[in-house]
Amino acid sequence: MAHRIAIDIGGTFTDLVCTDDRGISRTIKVLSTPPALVNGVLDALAGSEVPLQDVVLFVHGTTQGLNALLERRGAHVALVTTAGFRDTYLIGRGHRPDMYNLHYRKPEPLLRRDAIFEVPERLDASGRIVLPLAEDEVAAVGKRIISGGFDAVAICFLHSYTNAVHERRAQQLLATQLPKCAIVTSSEVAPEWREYERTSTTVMSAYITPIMRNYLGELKRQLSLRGMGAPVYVTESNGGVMSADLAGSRAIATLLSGPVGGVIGARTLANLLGEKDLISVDVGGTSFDVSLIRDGDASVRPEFDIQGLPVLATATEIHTVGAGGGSIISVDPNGRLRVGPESAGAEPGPVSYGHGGMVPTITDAHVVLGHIPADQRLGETLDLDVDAATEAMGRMGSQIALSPTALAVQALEVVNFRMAEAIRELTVERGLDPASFTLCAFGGAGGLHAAALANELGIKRVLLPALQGSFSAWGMLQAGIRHDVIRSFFRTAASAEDVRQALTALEARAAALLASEGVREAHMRLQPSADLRYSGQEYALTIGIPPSWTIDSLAEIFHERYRERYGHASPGEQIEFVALRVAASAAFEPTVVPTADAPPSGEPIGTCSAHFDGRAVRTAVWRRSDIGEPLEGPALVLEQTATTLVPPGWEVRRTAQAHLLLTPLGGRR
Amino acid sequence: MSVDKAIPSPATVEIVQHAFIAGAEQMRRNLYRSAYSPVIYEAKDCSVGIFDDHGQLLGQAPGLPFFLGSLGGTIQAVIEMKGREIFEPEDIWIVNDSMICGSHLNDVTVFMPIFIEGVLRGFSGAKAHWNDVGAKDAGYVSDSTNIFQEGLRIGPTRLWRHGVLDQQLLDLIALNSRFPGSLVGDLHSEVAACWTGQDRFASIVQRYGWPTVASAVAQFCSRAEADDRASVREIPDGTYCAASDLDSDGLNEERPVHVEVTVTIAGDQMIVDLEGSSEQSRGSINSGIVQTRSAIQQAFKFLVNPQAPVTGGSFRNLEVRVPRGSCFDPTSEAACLHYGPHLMLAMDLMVRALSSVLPQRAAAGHVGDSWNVTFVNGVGYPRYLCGESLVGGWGAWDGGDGESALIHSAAGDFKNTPVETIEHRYPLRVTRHALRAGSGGAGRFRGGLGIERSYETLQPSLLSLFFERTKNPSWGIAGGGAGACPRVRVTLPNHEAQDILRVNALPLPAGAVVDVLTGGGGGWGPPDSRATKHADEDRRLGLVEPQLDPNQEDESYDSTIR
Repeated sequence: MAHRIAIDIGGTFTDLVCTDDRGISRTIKVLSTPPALVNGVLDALAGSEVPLQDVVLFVHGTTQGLNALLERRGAHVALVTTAGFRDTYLIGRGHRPDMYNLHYRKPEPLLRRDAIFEVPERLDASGRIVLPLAEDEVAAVGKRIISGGFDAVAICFLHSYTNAVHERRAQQLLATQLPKCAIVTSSEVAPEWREYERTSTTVMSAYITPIMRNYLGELKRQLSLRGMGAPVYVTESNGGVMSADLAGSRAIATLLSGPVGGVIGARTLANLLGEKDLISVDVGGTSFDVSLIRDGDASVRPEFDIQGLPVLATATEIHTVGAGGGSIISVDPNGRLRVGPESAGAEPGPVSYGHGGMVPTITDAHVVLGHIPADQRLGETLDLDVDAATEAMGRMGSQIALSPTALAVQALEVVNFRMAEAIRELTVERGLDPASFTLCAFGGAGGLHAAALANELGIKRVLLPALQGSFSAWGMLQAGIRHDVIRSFFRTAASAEDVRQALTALEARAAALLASEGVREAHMRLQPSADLRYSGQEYALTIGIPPSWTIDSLAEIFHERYRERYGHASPGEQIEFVALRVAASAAFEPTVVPTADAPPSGEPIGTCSAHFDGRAVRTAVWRRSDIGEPLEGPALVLEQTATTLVPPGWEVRRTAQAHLLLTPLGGRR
Repeated sequence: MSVDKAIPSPATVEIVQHAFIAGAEQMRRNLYRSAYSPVIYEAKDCSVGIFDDHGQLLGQAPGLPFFLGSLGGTIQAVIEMKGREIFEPEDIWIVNDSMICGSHLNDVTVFMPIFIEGVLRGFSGAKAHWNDVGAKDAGYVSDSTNIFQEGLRIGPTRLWRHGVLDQQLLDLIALNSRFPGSLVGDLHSEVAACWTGQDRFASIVQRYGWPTVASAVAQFCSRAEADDRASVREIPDGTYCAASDLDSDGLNEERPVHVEVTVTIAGDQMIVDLEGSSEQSRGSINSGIVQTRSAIQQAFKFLVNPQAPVTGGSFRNLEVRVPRGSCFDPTSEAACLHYGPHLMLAMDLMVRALSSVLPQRAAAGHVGDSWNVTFVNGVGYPRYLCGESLVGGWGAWDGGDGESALIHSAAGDFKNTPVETIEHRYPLRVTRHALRAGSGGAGRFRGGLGIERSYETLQPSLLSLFFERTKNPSWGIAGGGAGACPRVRVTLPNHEAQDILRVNALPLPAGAVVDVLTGGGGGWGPPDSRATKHADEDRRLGLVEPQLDPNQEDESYDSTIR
C-alpha cells in the first residue's frame, strides 16, 4: 500500500503523520533529538512501522535553519559589497524601536566588520554601469576569503536588483577560487530594492545554506540507505513545498518551514469543507499564532524579520503574540493584574504539572476552573495537581482580595482579550469582519480558548480539526509545490504591453522552476500579482492580477483594496507599480479525506464540575470519538493531547471526517 | 474625567488600558501605511493618541518619542482657548501654530472630538510632519528669524464640520505649499487615523459602558502615578545641575545658546528647572512651551520606568519650570524651525545631572542633533526635495559601549533613507556610506560611532544644512572621552572646497560633492581601564583607527575631509 509521510520537527517533539490509500492517518510523536535532528526523524519512522519502500511522498518541515539563526551557530560568512558601502549591513536603518531605552543595542548581526570586503563596481538606479567590476580586486578578495577560513559568501552590490551582471560575474570568479564555499548573490535571493534589507537577506541565506545542505544531504542519505526512493520535499515559508535538492540552494525560502504546517492544514480544511474564509489559531504553551485564510488562500506577506533582522522573502502571514497555556499570572505592587507575556515554558511549567512551577499560569487557571478534569485523563497525559494550582492562585489572588476561582476567571478574561486583539489586528484593521470567518483552532490549548474567542469576536462557527495535536504535520502532507518569483518593476505610468511582457518573462521563470521539479505544464498554476501604491508613497499593496485585466481595471482593484485596508482612497491619484510577482504552484494528488474510524458510543465517560461564566455547573465529559448525535454544552471533550470546552449556549457536532464543529445554539448570540 | 460609582474588575482595568493603547497603535499603523511623505512613514516624524475630554492621555503611539506629551498638550491648549462648547460631533480640527503645538509649523496636528450618546467624552488626534507649508524657501529653512518666514500659521481651525470638508479652506492650505499633492495625502492619512481612534474609543465604551470605562481609566492612571512616585522616591533627595552650550543661536556663532538644567528631587517629586538658559534666540532655535514640556517628559521617561506605557497618570510627579521669554518659551513671533537642538541638549543634560545618583539608567552624551541635509532642485519650481536626518553615535554607559549609527534621542523608530531609494527618486548619487572610525569617545566603555556619507549632485541643486554640537560634542562621563564632532565639506567640480555647518539654499552645480561626517557618542569610565580584549577587537575591526581601505590593510584610506 502506498504511504505518504510528513514529519514536523518541533522544539520538543517530532511529529509524524502517515496517510495510506484509504485516507487512514496515523500519528507518531517522539522526542526531538537536537543537535542530530535526523535521528528523531529516523526514530519516528521506525515507530510508524511503515515499510519505507512503500512511501510515495515524503514532506518535511524543519526548523534547522531557523534554529541555527536563533542560536547564532550558522556558517562563517564573508560579505562582498560595493566599494564605499562596507558598513551598510552594520549601520542598518539607524532606528531605535525601543525608544525610551538609553542603552539600546541593534540586533546582533550575523557577521562582523572584518568579514566584509569591498569591490570597486557601480551601477546607477536604472542598472547602467557607472564603474565596471574590478575583476582583479574580486580575485584579491577571494584570496582573503580563503585565508579567513570562511565557509559561505554573500554578494550584494548596489542596484543589482535591476541588473545582476556584476554580481553574477563576481560569483563566477569566486566560485572557481572557492569551490567548497556556498556563494549566494542578492540578485538571486531577493531581487528587490533597499540595500540594507537585501544585504541582510543575502547574508542570512548564506548563513544557513551550508547547514541546510548538510542536514538535507544526511537525511536523504539515511532514507535511501533504508530503502526509501520517494522524493523528499521541504516546506517553505510561503506555504508550499520544494524538493530537498532545490532547498539546498534556496535555503532562505525554508526559514519558516516549521510554523507554516498548521496554516497549510487550515487552508486545506477551508477548501475541503467549503469554509473558504477561516481564521487559523495555533494555541501553544508560550505563543498564540494567528493566520488568515481568505477565499481558500492563506495570506502571505512579502517580507518579515527574525529577531529584528529583515528578510525579503514571501512568507505565510503568521501574527504571533506571547499568550498561551504557560503565560504567567501575576499581581504587581500596585494591584495591577498581569498575564504574560512571560511564560513558565516546559520547565518549570504550570504549577499543576508538579515540575516545580510555583507561579500560576493560564493552564492552572483552567485546572482551577475544572476545564481540564484531573481525574478523567486519556492517554499519557500527566497527573494534574489541582490543589497546588488552587493554592498558588489563592496566594496571588489574596493580594487583590480575589478567590482562586475569581482570579482564574479574571486572568482568562485578560488572556482571551489579548488573543482576540491579535485576531482583530489581522481582520478588523483591514476592514474585515471576524464574525464572517470560521475559527479553526488547534495546538495544545486551542480547544480551551476557541469558544471564548468566538464569543468575543462574534464568530459563529468554530472548527477543531481531527488530529488536533499533530495538525501541523498533517498540514504539511497537504501542501503543494510552490515557488514565488519577483522582480522590481518601477513604473509611474506603465503600459499594459510593458506589464504583460514583464509578466510573461516572470511566468516563464516560475514555470521553469516547477518543470525542474518534474511538474507537467498542465498541472501548473501561475498566479501573477503586482505591488502597487499611490505615486510617491512607500508602502505598496500586493494586488492579484485576474486573468483578464487592463491598467484601469487594476487601478480599480487597487482603490478598492486600499479603501478596505485604510478606510480612505484617492481614486483621482496616479498609481505606480513597484514590483511584479508570480506564485507558481502545483498541487499534489489530494489525499483521500480521512473518515472517523470506529462508530461512536454516543455516551459520555462521566461528569465533572466546571466553571462557565463565573458559575460552577455540572458538565458532561466526552471522549471525542464517542460523540454521535450533536450535543449541547456545557461539555468537555477530551482527546489524546487536547481538551475542548463547549460552554453553555453552544452545540458541538462531530463531522464525518472527525472534526468538531462548535456553533452557538439558536444562531446569533 | 468624572468618575461614577462603577467598580471595574481587575481584568476590566487591564483590558480597557490595553484597548486604548491597541487603538492608538492601530491609528499609527494606518498613518504610516497610508502617508505620502517619507518623513512620516520612514522618519516616523509623527504621533497619535486617544485622549479624554480634558485632553488627558488614554493611549498613545508616538512615532517620535519627542512628541510624547505634545499632542495632548496641544488639545489641552485648544480647549483652554476655545472652550469645550465649541466641539461638535464629527468635526475635525487642524492646528500647527508653534505657540500652541510647540514645534515647527511643518508639524500639523489634526484632532477630532469624540461624542458618545451626544456627550463629549474624548478626542483622537494625530500630529505629523508635512514636507512644505509654504516657508520662504523650499526644504528646511536654516536662517529664519521670525515665524512668518517659516510657513503658513494655522490657529485652531475646524476643517470638517459634521463630517463635511470645508473644501475652500483645504484649497487655501494646499495653495500655500510647494507640494500640495503630498500635503493633501498626508492630511487624509491623519484624518483617517482620527476616525480609527474614534471608532476604537466608541467600541470600548459600548462594551463596558461609560461609568465603568471612566473608573477603569482613573484606576490605571493612578497606578501609573504610583509607579512613577515610587521610582523617584528611590533617587536620593538633592539638587543636581548640568549646563552646556549649542554652537550658535541658529544665525550667529558669537551668540551660542546656553542651556542650564537644575533637577531637584524632593521625596517622590521631581522638579526640572530651565532657569539660567538663554533668552529667546534670534534664529530658529526656539520651542513652544508645549514641546519643551514634552521633551522634559521624554527625558524623565528615559530615567523613570522606561518600560511602562505612558498614560494620563504619568508625569504627575514631574514639575517643569520654564522661564518666560527664554528659548524654551518664546514670544509668539519667534522662529521655531529648529525646535530640537536645545531640547535634545536639555534632555541629555538632565541625564547627565542625575548620572551620579542613577548610574544604572544614565549614559554619556549622545549625538544630540538631527543633522539635517536637504537637497532641492536648483532651477525653477521645486520638483524634488530630498531631506535626511543623519544617524550618529550614542553614549556609553556603565556596562556597555554606546551603539553606533543610531538616530538621535528625539526620534525613535525613524529609518534612514536607503541609498537605492535616493538614487531612484532624486538626481543624486551617494558615493559613500560608512561607519566613521575613531569617532566614538574613548572610555572603559566606548562611545558609539558616527557615520560618513557622501553625496554627489547630478543636476544643479540647492543645499541646506543644519549641523549643531561641534563646540560641545557629546560628553564622556566618569572619565570617559567626548565623541568626535560633526563636519561637512562641500567640494565644487572645480575642486574648490569649503567646510560648512549651517547654510540655507546654497546653489550647487551638477558634480558637486557633499561629504558629511556625523559625530560619535561619549565614553564612560577612564580609557585606560578598557578591557584588553575589547581594545584589541576595536583595532582589529577598524573602529578606532582612521579608516583603512578594508581590502588593502597596509594603506591608509584617504578621505576627502581628513
